[in-house]
Amino acid sequence: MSADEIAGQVYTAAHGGLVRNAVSKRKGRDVAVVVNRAPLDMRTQDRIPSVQTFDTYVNNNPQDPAVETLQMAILTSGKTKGTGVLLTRFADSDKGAVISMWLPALRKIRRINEPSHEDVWFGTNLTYGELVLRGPDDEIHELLGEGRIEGCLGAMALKRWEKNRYTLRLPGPQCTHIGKPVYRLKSTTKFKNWWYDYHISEIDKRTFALYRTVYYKNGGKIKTVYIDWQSLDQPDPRITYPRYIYAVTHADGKDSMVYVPRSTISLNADLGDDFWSEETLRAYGR
Amino acid sequence: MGQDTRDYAEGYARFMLRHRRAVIFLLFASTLLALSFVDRVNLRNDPDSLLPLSNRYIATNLYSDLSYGMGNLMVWGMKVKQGDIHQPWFIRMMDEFYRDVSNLAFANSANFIGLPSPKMRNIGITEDGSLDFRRLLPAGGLSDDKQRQRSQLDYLREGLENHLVLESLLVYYQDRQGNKCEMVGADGLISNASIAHVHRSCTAKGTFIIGDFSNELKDHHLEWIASAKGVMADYQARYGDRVEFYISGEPYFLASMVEELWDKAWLFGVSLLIILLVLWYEFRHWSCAVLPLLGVGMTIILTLGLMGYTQFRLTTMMALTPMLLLAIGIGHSMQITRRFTQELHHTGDPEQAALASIRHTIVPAALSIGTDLHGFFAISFIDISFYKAYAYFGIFGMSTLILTTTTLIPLLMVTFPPRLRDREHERGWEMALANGLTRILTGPAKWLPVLAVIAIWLAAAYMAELDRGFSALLAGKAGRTDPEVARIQDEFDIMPGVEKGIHYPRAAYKDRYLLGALLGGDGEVKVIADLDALSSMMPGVITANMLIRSKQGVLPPCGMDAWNEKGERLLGADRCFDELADPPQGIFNRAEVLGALSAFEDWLRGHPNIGYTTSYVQFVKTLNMMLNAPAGEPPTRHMNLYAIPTVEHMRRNAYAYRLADSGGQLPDPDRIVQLYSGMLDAGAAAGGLDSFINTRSWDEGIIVGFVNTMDPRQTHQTVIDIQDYLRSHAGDPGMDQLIVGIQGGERIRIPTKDRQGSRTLVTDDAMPGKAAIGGFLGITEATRDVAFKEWLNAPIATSLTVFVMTLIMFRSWMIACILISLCFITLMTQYGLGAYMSSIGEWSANLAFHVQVALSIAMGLGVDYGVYMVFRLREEMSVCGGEWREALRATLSTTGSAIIIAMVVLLGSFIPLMNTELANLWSVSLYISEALIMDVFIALMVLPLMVYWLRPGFVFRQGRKISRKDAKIAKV
Repeated sequence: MSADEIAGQVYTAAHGGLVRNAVSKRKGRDVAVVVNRAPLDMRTQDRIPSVQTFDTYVNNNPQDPAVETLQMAILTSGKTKGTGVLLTRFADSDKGAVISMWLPALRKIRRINEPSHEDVWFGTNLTYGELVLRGPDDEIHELLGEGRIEGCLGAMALKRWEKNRYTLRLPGPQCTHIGKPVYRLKSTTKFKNWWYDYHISEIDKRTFALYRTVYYKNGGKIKTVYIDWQSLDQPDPRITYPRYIYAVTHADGKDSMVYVPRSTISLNADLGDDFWSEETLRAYGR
Repeated sequence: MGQDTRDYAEGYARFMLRHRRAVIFLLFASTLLALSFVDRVNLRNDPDSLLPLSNRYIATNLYSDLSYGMGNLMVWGMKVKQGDIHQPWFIRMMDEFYRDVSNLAFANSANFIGLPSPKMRNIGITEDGSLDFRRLLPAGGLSDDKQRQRSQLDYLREGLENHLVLESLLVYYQDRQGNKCEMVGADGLISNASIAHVHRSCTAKGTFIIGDFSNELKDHHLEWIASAKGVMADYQARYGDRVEFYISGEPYFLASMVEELWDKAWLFGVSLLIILLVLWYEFRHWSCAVLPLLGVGMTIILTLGLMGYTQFRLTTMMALTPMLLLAIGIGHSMQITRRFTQELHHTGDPEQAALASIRHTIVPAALSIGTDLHGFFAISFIDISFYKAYAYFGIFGMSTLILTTTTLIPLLMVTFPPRLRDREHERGWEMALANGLTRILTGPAKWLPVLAVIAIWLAAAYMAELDRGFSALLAGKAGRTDPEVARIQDEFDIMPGVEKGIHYPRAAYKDRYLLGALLGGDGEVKVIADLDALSSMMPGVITANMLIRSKQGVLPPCGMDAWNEKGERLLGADRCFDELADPPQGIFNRAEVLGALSAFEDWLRGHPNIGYTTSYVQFVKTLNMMLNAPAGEPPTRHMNLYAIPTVEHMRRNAYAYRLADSGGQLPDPDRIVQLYSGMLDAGAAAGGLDSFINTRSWDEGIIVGFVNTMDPRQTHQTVIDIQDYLRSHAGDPGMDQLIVGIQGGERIRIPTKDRQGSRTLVTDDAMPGKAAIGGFLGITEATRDVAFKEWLNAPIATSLTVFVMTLIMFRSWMIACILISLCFITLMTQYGLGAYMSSIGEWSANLAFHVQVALSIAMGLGVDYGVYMVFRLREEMSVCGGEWREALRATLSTTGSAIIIAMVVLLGSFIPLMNTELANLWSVSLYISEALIMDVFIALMVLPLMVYWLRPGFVFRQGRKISRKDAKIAKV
């Protein structure tokens, strides 16, 4: 396979293009969670990592041909509890995405235009570009070769004083991928003056799951992102889910982790397109 | 006792001579060892570490720096010469410049603000009515496509003009006459009308980048400033024909001071040359000129080596220490060299000459150095780091002079004896001086010097407004209705004409300097010129940090023990805080508090000396406007919503807040601001909000004000006004839940340099009821406080030690009283000098705290002259059989002329200090020089009259046999 083909496959697999819809919803005590930890310099005993729980609903196959995907997230804890975000991406790539946001304290929907690629996602050290916006065409890809996964995938290692009931069950480093055959792909950004020059990714040859991505700037490592892709036991092995995403910034040590328990996930739920609507956001907010 | 002293002196001289090779070797070896430590001198020039950390202003500033950063702010200003800033080449240049300065070492790039900053977001709507929050300048810079570039520039311009938080900080508007256009209206507030006026009538001519750097920079001053200047020089070379560049900021200021000191080190050579020539002129032999310099040079190296070894934090002011050691050491060197040549002339044997000269000189030299040390000794007790540095290293250096000059020079002269000259005694000018002065002091003209001194004293007192000070003190409680009278009473400011506050930049740098003009420039000091230019363009160039904390405090976060395995809570909401389950805590989650802080900020912005403020409150207000403006309408059309959504505000603007599905009810204010804090926290990059608020507790934050003046009187008034506002609004809803600044008696933990440990400091409570303000305004006020504490205390402490020392030395109350009285005359003239400088607004030389060190040092040095004169008068009175006129003439021809030469040497050695760009060295040199000139005038022309009129027994007791010790002292 060529480098561009690999990049295209990775994009399809990572953005859920192989399922009609996917839902992650709290089940009992299991809930998807984002954990953010401050840079090393700012870590003190009174600063435990911040935690945000959320439910997500992704529709990859809307009826309206003008709409490419509909993604909805509901924040279920903290000061923003009840806030709902509906992201509508259009088939026309020149048309920017639209975000509708339900603000429970104001009981209002506000529409916000598409965030920029470099904007941070939920206070993490991941950007909207990495998670949502960046497409294969935004980079130049070069296949460096093939190999096998070496070492475990990193995870957030919390000190005892940093833990609470929400972070107690965060997964540790994932070692089951060691030895899996991978492509090594170098992707150089086409954007000028960008926050990285290129990244090198290790991609599962069978599932196109992106396990490890290391970003470089001026020849030095700046960030590493680990994704623990796990099978959803579907006929197509490319249908996987990110059990956790762990990103660490090397300059200051800030790290973030998104953890999605398997029990919260369901695929191809019986939901109509009208579910992905501002009405649903309002209903959740109430 | 005299016999004992003589024996000790002789024993010392013989011992030294017997072991002279070992002594010489040990002194040279010590000097070489010290030399190896000289390059470790810790010259860091950090004003906020000079002052006592227990001071609440300093503690507040330190706490703010440690908690929120922004302690080392830099400003770069760029002003286009033609057109406005919205030109593609200029924006590209800005973008590149921003990246380059963000990449400078020690940069906290997350805290940088400028047009290309990620913080510069649009506050508008898209064509379809969605809120538009994109970066004003794309992260990748302007497009190469002309059409796209045009639309990007339009977007930037429009976005800037709608940016309520940062436009007034980052964009400089100028009208057609070249005057600055103010964004704030006459009411002190930013409104649609005030902004529209600026956009309609003025042109955006300049913009700024504000950068924050870490404290580590202070350990690498010189490398950092070289790179910072390199960036500026590069852009100046490429764009200097189209753009005016300005640079300022505390790190730059402090680093450039250190650099200036090293750059002008060659002036030290000029000083040495002056002294060499004076010594050669005096002795007409090179060994007599070189060896004294060698001895003093060793003392300087030993002292610098000790500075390096101890790693004491020093400032550029410490350049004065080597100069003082040079000047004072040369005086002692001259005495011993002169004595050696006299003895050599008598005996012809260098060893005998060395023995006699050491024996006869060691005691008076020790006494003289003892009086010199008074000034340093007194200031060693003051809790200001550079005062202590002066004291410790001054005492050490001067003490070594006994070895390096009085002992070493004769020992070396045994090996390198000078060629004898026929005429060893006084020169013609010395006799002429003595005859002339004697005629004046014994004739009818003797009143002239007395009248001159009285006139000078009265002029000084008049300038210092001594009368106003005393009148205010005498006005008692009845007079306290006048705030100025109350202030004078509270601060015991008996000389209100003397400004003791500090204008830090001008205290550091002159605005012009002579050497610059002589070397072919225009004499302008660029650092100050840039600062003045930026001051005229920016809302303010020094910060005033208001640290806001709650009275109540918050609960600690819940740990793992707060819940059991079943998910049941074990520690209640009264014991620990669960951010996901419990109601948000912290005063910054309460609308009432934010509303009170918003009102406080509005008041601050309306203050004439505060050009701009920023805080977390501004983010909340902006978000509130964006989210509540009617859908599809530009938020900035609803500037009335740029506010904290308190109940009152929402009632007044119900159209924007009424809940559609709740019968027109208004939402809960606290829930709104809590939602905003959650959104802002989630939307910010790492550390994005941490410059303004403690995101751990949401219970403390900071308001950063930019003060548009550095005038010491106006900065003090600004502090008073802020404190008055806080006092009068302390009971307001919201304000009653918070405290501003660090409190008295509070314990603060300061992390150590390696951040592994910490130390605790306890603040004093010297200003109860007053809010402590941080930032450079706070440092300025703290400096003023310290100056007010010491401007009388330090000289009085010095005068007391001088009095006691002279009393012991002369065993005469009257002599001690005469000498100390004369010292007070000199002191008054120094206050007068400070008053004059204050009256003309020369803030490089008013009586700020760093200048006050000169008062004590000058007193210690100045009393020497009186001591010499009294001893000599006593001896000559005995020799001349009580004939006053002859005794006076002989005294003036010997000791008098030596005093003048010593003064010339001292003034000559100060020339380098006075000709750098640095104002601190100039001002201290100026005060010491003025005092020395006055001291010499008094010692030669007033002291003899006082002695003659008051007839102290020490001088006039005829028939008393003068001890050999006293005779020796007098001869020297």
